[in-house]
Amino acid sequence: MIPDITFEVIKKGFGHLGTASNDKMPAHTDTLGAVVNDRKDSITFFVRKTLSEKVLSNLQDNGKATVFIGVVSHEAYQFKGQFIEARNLTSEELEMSEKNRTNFIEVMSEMGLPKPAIERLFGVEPDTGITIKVNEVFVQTPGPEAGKRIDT
Amino acid sequence: MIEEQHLPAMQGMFPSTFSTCSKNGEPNTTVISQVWYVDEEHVALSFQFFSKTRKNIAENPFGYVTITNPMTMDMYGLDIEFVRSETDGDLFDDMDMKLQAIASMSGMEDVFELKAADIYKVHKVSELPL
Repeated sequence: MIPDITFEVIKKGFGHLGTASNDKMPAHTDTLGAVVNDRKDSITFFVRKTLSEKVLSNLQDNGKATVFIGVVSHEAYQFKGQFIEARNLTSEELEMSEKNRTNFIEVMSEMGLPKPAIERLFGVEPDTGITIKVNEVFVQTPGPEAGKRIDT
Repeated sequence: MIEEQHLPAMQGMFPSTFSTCSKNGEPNTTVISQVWYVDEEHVALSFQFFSKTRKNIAENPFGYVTITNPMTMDMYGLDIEFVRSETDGDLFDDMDMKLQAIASMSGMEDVFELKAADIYKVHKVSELPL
């Protein structure tokens, strides 16, 4: 079971989905939202296929995945697990992503970054859901607890 | 390899993402505050914590890091390989000073501490198709 304390970060944060090829060369892609699945043992991460080709190829090869997700407060978690599937996103998932991306664009704009630039990445909707069965969860918030495993 | 167009993405204004892989093929991904330009073929990353990243690099020196130009959002992926650590000198001092400034701005002075400037050779730079 994915711990409840991580749900808000999964829902509101943006992440980076990491993989490695069979010859141990790492690659990652940005995630633009995510949803915990009903059984609370897997997460579907929303990505753009054009930015994720190497990641998708690695997942097909060996299935090993890791995802760092954080929010502006620096609270962050790392989820490690096994690739289940890549699929199209539902209208509900696209709506969730849009809400998150719109909020993130506003936050970044307030920090002084040019809105048209931010929209090049966060203004484009994701088109692929990558589902990972989560086996381990670690704290990634900077500080003494960083790296600590959370019971699942 | 590293050209002038990449330099704005290496000023620490937008966080970078760094992925490594253990000897058993387990990937790990984390966020770092800055990738430092060293020369046309090398970058430096800050070593702050004895982390999974550091353990992986000791086992397998290859990494992948993405950098972002905050003014345009142009993103670049760098295939890199660990070369050495530096614990003093101009580069270390520059990185330490900048890290303390970032820590101060984010209220994390007690958390961020530069242990070393890790130097990586850049094998390839790719622009991501936004």
